[in-house]
Amino acid sequence: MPESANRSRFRDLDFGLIGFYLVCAAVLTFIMLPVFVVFFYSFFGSAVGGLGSPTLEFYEGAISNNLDAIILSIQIAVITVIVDIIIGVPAAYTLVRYDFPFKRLAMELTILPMAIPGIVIGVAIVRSWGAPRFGIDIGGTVEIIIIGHILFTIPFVIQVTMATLESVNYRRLEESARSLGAGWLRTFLYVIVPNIYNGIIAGAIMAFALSLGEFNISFFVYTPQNTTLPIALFGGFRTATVGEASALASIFILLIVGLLLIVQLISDEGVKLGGNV
Amino acid sequence: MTEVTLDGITKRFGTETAIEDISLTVREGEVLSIVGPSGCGKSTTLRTIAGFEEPTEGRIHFDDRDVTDVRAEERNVGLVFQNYALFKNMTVLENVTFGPRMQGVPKEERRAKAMELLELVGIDDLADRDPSSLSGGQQQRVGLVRALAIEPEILLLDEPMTGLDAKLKKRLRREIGKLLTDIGVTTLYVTHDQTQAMAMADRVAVLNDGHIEQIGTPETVYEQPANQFVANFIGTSNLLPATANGSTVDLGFTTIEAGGLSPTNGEVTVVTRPDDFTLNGGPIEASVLDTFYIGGTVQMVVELPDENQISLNVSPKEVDVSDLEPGDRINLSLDASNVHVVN
Amino acid sequence: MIERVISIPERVTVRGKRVDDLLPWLLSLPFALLFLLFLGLPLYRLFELSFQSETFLGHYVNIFAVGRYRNALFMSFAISILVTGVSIVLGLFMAYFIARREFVGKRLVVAIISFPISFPGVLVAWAMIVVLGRTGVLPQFLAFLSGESASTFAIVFSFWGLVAGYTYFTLPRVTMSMVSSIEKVDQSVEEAARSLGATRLQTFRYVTLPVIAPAIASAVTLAFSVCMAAFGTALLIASGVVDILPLMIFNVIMGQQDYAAGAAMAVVLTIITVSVIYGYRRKFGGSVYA
Repeated sequence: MPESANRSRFRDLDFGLIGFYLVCAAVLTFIMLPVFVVFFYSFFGSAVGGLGSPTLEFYEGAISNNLDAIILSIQIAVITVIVDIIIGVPAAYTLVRYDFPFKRLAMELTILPMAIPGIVIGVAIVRSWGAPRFGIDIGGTVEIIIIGHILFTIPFVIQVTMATLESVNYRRLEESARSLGAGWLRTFLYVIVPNIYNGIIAGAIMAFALSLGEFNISFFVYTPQNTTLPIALFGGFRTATVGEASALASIFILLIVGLLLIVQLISDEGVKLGGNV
Repeated sequence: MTEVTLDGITKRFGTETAIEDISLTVREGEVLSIVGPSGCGKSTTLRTIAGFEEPTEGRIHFDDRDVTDVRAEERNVGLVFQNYALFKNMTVLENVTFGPRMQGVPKEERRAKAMELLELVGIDDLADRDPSSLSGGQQQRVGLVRALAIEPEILLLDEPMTGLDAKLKKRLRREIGKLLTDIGVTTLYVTHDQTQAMAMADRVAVLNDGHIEQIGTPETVYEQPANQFVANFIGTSNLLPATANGSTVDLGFTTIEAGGLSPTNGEVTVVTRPDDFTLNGGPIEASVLDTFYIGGTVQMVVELPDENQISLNVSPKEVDVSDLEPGDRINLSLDASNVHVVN
Repeated sequence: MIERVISIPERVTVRGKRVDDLLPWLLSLPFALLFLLFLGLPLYRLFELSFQSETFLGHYVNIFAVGRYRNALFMSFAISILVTGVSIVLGLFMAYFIARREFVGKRLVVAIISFPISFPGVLVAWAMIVVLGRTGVLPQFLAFLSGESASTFAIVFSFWGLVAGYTYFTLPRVTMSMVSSIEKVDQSVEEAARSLGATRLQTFRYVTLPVIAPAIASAVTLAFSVCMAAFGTALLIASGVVDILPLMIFNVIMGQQDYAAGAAMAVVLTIITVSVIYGYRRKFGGSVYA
């Protein structure tokens, strides 16, 4: 095709490539701009009617009005993560390690809370456990929020743990430990767990971040005495000033971003993609 | 047929210079081989010709057309990749017809053409198979035929036989060599394997550290290497320090006639090949360090009086290997007619 | 003497083995109980509740018979499909960019793209409000330029605000889910296509796309199901403006206290998201969330 070869095209005018970069720049702007604006408003208040000087008063207001929610959310997240690990890691191990009837089905079921809309889980839980049942009365307590958060976050811990287990050749580790005379529990605690430690920590931090941001289930089971940070955000966005709401949002973003930076540092697993919004 | 000319091509990646001021011409219908150690810039040269790298400096011409700014898809360059790079989502036939299809060749025509080419390399019966079900050698042939199907101005082969076993390599080398001669397409063959380069190419360009050390026929680069690098890289050589003095070259332990070697006076390096020595009780005294019997020949490593070690090949018919022990003294003669002197 | 030495460890081993065999199962029991009591039971009760109507399957029939409900379901589909489409196209560009270009600060770009994945929906809504709302930067800026009221440009409390918000949380998920797949595409295959005369677009269409199709299917599944299920964002910016199914469930249950009707909608919503996700797993294997 000599004709086309003759038609010299200068790469400087490569519109396809320019378009490609433009789209990417637009996407990055779309993702970043709102976060910048939230931070900006948290120092300056709304841009309406001109800008004042930067101030920390919105942060003072946001913290003093929502300190309880911030603390409660962190407490809930800590407990959620601990329970996630205690009951999730052994379950993940059992699912990967043993053969049993309906094993595939059981593995599929573990991601169910990711597949079911949070609002449905919230409605279902409040309907079933909002009133005493089987002698258990957890309606309106912090415990019911924690249970909701565990349900929502434990699939992530299990997924990461299962993936890590698959990657470390746990069977050989286990066989060598057992051949040296260690029982199951000691093998599990001293050999298996240290080898999948990074995965567990990454999963735990993800779970912590997800619990901190969980809204859809909490929204149906919380009471005004047990307000979590996202619920407080929701209230703040509706009632507080733009500056204070932005300050509260900024606090939340900083918390989450800090946690996720740690995940990115310690694990290749990266951020899991599910989560209710 | 096309003559491809690189004119002072330089390519830098950031501060790294991959190739520096490369000028060479691949003549019409010729097979030119670029050979060199890994990282010498041979792949960059090939990718620049293909249009995947934009040269930092220099121009590329196909005949008298400047194609430096022409996009890869419009250069009409056939590329054969080291890993074959076949389209796994297409059958063999679809792979081969892909190029003509992009050029808008009618379906029947491109099919007939593809079948013809597949037949030429003896795999027309595999036309409807998935590439992943083929052997390495078969995949390589599909890759070759796919590149030829666009009737390229130049065919670029990038280490096309790496990963194939030695026997298959030899057979493919013969087949591809014949095919390229028959078709007469201008070909650039990039490889780190000097045997391949020598066997297949009309001319060889030795590349080192981003620049060309020597271009010439296989005979020239082997027998008259331009410098120590070429001498070392092409074939096995014994590099011996010597002093040139007018018509003679003094190796210390022996003196040879310079003859047509036309050395400059002073410090020079004498390039000898393992076959240049004969074990016939000649004037050079050496001691045996090691012997390897490798079938047709016996490779020997011996130490010369000046403590230089050289390797030489002798026929098992001449020498009974079992007679020789490390430390034995032997007498060699050097056939000066094949010796080459570089500065 | 010898017999005793042998017999004691044996008995211990036998007993130990029995405990050992059970231990993993015992330790997995809390997890099973959690799912049974707080997921299985509540869902079952919700399911049961959805059938408590005067006519057979009355609440289910109503979802399609009552205009408001039907529209909410259709609107949910419409927004999810639109946002999925937009996110996939933009996400493909971004994923290509991340997978293929080596540049300083790449890790930062990856971080910027992936952090919004963990933002709760209400936060995304607020992010949209400060950009597109009446006091947001864009309307303020446009008002400053045009001299008109900022309200003219405030689109956040509308269908388009909802689309922007949904795209905000879908796009990063979709992008990150496609990056590793594009990284795995053999670039020499693409170069082969280019050398054979295919343009970049043709190369993508005929060579790259077939290879990354499963990853795109996964991204579509993820985007669609997340959009269908999203609630927080909509609650803040679309309540009373755009009816979508999750908002309708909320209104019916919390506003009208009609648990049975809400339960039927919840079941329909669950069937949609669960079947999309498990349908993908069945067809392609692997997790949508990986």
